[in-house]
Amino acid sequence: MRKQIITIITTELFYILTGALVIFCAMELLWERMVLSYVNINWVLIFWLIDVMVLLVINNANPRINANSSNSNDANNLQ
Amino acid sequence: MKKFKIKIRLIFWSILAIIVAWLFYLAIVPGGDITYVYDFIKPSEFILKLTPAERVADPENGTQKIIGDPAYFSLRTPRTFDTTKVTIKYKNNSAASIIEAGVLTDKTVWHYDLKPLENDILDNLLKSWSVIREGNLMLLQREKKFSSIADFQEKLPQRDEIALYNTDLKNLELSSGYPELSSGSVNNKELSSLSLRGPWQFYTYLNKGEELNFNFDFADLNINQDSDPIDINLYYQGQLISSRHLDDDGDKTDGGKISAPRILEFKEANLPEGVYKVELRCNDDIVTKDIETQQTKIAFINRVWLADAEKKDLTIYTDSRAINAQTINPGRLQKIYAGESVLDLSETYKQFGLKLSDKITPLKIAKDDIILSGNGVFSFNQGGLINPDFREVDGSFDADAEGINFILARYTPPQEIDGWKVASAEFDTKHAYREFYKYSFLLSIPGLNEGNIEIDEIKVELEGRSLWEKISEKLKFKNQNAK
Repeated sequence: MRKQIITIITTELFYILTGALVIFCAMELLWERMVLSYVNINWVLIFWLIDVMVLLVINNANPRINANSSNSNDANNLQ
Repeated sequence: MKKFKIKIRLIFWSILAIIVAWLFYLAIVPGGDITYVYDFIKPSEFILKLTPAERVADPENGTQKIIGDPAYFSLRTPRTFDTTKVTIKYKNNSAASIIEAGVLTDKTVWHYDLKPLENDILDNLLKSWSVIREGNLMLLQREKKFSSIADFQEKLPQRDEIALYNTDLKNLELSSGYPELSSGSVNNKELSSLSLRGPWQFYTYLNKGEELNFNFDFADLNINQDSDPIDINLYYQGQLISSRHLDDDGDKTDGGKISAPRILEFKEANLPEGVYKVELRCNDDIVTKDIETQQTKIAFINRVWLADAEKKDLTIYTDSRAINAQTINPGRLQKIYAGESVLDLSETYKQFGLKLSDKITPLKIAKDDIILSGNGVFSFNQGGLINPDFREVDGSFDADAEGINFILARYTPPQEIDGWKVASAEFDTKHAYREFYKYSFLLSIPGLNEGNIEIDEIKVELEGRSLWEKISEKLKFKNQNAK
């Protein structure tokens, strides 16, 4: 149960950090220093990398949880 | 588990949405005003560090010392603003009597709109002279003669009794009764043999019915890698009345190939009698080889750069009370004789200054390629000197020696808070130069040779149009176009 919660949080964190990186880069391209004046995108990238590493470790350590999680995702999608 | 996942997803994406909205809010500044502060403890993203490095010490204990004049800083803003109020908390640990701040308004001629932060000369006079204050405009009188500033403006005393600071007196134009106008004339030979580099401004005088007639001969040195357009503007009573433009010579490289001479004719008839200002706007690649004119008065304002034309033993006349000289050419180091004083130009890229006491001083210059600047005008012939400007209260000002009895100034003395001086200057940034989201500011401290100015804090308060004003303006513009 706890492992599943951690996996879900790590996965969602991966999506949100990926989204944040893309949105922040787009905003910077649109309006120079709009993001960099307040947020250091390097830190977002570092958190994203840490999250990706944690996600890979979880997946390698327990592929079943991931498999279950993706199966349940598929089942949810089908429903 | 599915509900938990949706909850987590909602929370995360809501946080990101709030951050994005907050970033847009800070970039758009919908209210129209925002304040940035640089405390010298950690770098600011908006008020950038003081430069150049050789004129400022490293930040220490939340302060930074300016050790050379001038120093600069840039202000990065997400959008444009109409007005900018710069407040500086500082200690003046030097003998410099004047501190001014300025915003860059014209990059071609590097013009800064300067505003006072501290004027020690005025601060001292405020203690002993009679003062009338109306807002931030003040009239100082050696002996009280006028009861209000309006009364003073109505019954103006003699020109040579008045000094100004950060203000002007438009209704006292030079008239034909002005003694300088009846004597002397420009020696056209002198003018045709001059060679001036970069931008300049000069005053000229037109008599009744006289035609303004100039032929300028320009050459392009092509030393810098930019295009070198030339603009000549004619001003009367502070208003631009005519202009001429000359495109770049076609060579935008920095190959150093000097262009063929190009002549620009500037003629205007039916102009009223009076003083006119002629301004050349160009970069330092442009050399004025020759000025042909029928006008009898030509006096260059504040600065002339005698170009490298191998000219020797030149005499230039000035009414400046303080002059500076500088050269970038090691072969032109020399002694400049200013009346009985000597200005030793002993190093390149360094400005050397000298205070003058005479009303008009001849400057004997052995070799050209030097930059002369001062608080008055320069002429190649004593008869050509004309200066419609009032005496400014600058570092060389001495009210007693110069017989000044009245000073009109737009000035607010700095406040003293916990041993620090706090002074503010407000700028019109609507017309300021902005490049790469940045405004450029200058801190001018003339005479800062020893000691330092210790800065504790720079605060910038920006004001502009709100989002709603901008939207309603756009809608009005659209409606007008539709009609």
